Amino acid sequence: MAPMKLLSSDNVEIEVEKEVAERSVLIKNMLEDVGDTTVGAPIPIPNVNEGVLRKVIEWCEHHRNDPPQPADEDSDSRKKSTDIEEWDQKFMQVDQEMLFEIILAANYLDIKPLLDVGCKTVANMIKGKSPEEIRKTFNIQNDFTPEEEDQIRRENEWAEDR
Amino acid sequence: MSNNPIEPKPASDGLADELETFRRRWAEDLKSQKEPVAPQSKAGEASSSHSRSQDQPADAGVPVNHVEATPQVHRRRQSQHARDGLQALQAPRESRAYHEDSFRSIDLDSKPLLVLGPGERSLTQAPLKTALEHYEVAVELEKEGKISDSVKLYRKAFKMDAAVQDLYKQKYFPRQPEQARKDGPFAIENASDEPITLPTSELIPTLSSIPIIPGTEINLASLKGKQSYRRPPPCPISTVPREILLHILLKLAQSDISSFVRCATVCKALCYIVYSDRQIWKAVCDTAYGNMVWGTGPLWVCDIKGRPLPRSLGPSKDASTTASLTSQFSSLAVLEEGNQEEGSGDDDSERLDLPTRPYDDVEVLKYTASYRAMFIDRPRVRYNGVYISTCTYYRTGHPVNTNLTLSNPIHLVTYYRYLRFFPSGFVLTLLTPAEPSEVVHALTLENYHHLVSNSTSPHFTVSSIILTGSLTNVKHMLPGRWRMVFDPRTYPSPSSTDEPGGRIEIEAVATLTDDRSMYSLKNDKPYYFSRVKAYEKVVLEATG
Repeated sequence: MAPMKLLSSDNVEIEVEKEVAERSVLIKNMLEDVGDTTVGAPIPIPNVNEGVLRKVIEWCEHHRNDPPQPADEDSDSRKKSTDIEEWDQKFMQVDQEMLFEIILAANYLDIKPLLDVGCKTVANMIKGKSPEEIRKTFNIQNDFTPEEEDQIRRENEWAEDR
Repeated sequence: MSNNPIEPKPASDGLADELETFRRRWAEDLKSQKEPVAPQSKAGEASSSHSRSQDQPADAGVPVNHVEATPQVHRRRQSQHARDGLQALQAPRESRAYHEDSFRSIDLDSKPLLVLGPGERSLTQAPLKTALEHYEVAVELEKEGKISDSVKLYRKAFKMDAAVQDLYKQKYFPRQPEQARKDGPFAIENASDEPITLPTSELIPTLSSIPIIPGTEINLASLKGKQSYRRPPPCPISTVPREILLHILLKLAQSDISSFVRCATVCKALCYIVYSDRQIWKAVCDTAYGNMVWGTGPLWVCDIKGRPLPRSLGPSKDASTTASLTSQFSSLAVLEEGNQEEGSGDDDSERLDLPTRPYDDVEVLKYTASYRAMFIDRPRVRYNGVYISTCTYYRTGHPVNTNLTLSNPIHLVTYYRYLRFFPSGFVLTLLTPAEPSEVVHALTLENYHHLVSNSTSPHFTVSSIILTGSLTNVKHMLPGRWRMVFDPRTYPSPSSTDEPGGRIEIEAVATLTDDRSMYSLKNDKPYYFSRVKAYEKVVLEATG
């Protein structure tokens, strides 16, 4: 497999196999557009810094042999669970800033499975928590007045499981 | 106006129904423009017919006979109509939406702008003078859905005074935070609910642009780490773009709707999404109603023992074909040997067709085109728990043979009906005096298999088998099949009052006689739903 180079936002060159890099639809399309003439010149990834990019590449290497995602959006949306496979769970055990940066990078680089895993990880952090716990987890300020909060809570009680 | 209402078609695409709604509005708007008689003065009528069409679009022909009325009367009628329209829009919601009526009614009081009082200026009255007046009327028209008229007025207003928007904001939204505090919960309620009914309302931008605000409290637990205590902890969720936030919340909503709804109380930004995002609620509805078993007449998806029926016509009774056709049910299908009691004629009639999928995109029009309202109000079957009905009765006992008691003892007898539904169309029913805590965890397919495989007779007489612990409580559970009943002639139709899914039919095996019987829940005491966490993994596997 042909090696190629990516250039992170902080100007660090990272070598990566083409096959691995092509997990990113963005890079894949880019390579298809320019053809193989520019092999050797690093591809700039201006939105992603070195640490995050290395992390993303780590994920791509592990998942290099995954079968391609079905293009059918329907079968995708049938996957209701927030179950995450074990390796991914471990991979996502990073601090929150890194987690969201991975999500942003996956979004930018168009790596849908990684984006899904990241979003599921965040969803699992929300799941089953009280609003106050959610605020604490993500350090969100409560911008409701007590009356507002009370009103909204009462209105949404239907969804609470008894 | 609406002499030939456009029959909405079920659309397969995600946004198609939204487009459909918009198209209908637009078409009506255009029609009202072409109307030769005093297009301006028809504003009220248009709005009333418009809102009516939202509730019952098949109601053809709103009478237009008052066009010949004198201008004076006409004007009064018109504002009357405008209010009628609003009430018509309101009424069905009030009757049905127990949780929404409180702020709905106050909605109108707190924002005088929304409704013209009898004494207030209406559109046909004295010519508009200032830019602000133009702007106000334009806002009203926009809310009524008369886009082209409102755009005209907006344009005029901006021509007269480019800063009219600021004036307007100053007049109606002075000192936003204080007002919100003073109005208490209702300010936010207006804003958050408006996207559903008034998609272009002035208030949405004010709420939708509120970001997630990072907390400033210093988390003591985080001090141990590398963070300096002077710097507040980071809040990366406040910086992610909205599309990613939506993606996260979609994942959350699909796996746990309670947690998703609970997010509304976290902060305003999340509240806005929970109340207004259509795609997430649509996905939630797709899951909830798409996974229910719909059928009518002879249509069932599985036989009474839970074996899936072939899903298409065909002479082949080949087991492998059946298995592949019903692969999505195979994990839940109860495969039982022998017991071919199904008559072949019965089989044929039952294999006629697929069960109908619910046409959500048509049904949703009954709920003012809000998937959120539909999910709240429309009946649905849940799989992640058990439905329990508690029955109690008194029975006089025999007198106790002592001299101390003069009266007969009275026994209070309590028993429970349990129902556990499966998305395959199978249902387990159980009638037992055992307490829910002893039963719910044992009411599983595994245990059912276990009981069936251990029993030789169809009566499940398992007394000879030693049952361990929890299994004794559920040894009498019976198989059955269920489906949501609908009338194919009236469904799907946005005007039909026959609520599909309002009735559920269960066919079960009677305990002693082994007869099949249709089982109606009508005579039972109300069931309450008990969510069982342990089920959820199984359910997710089945639906995933």
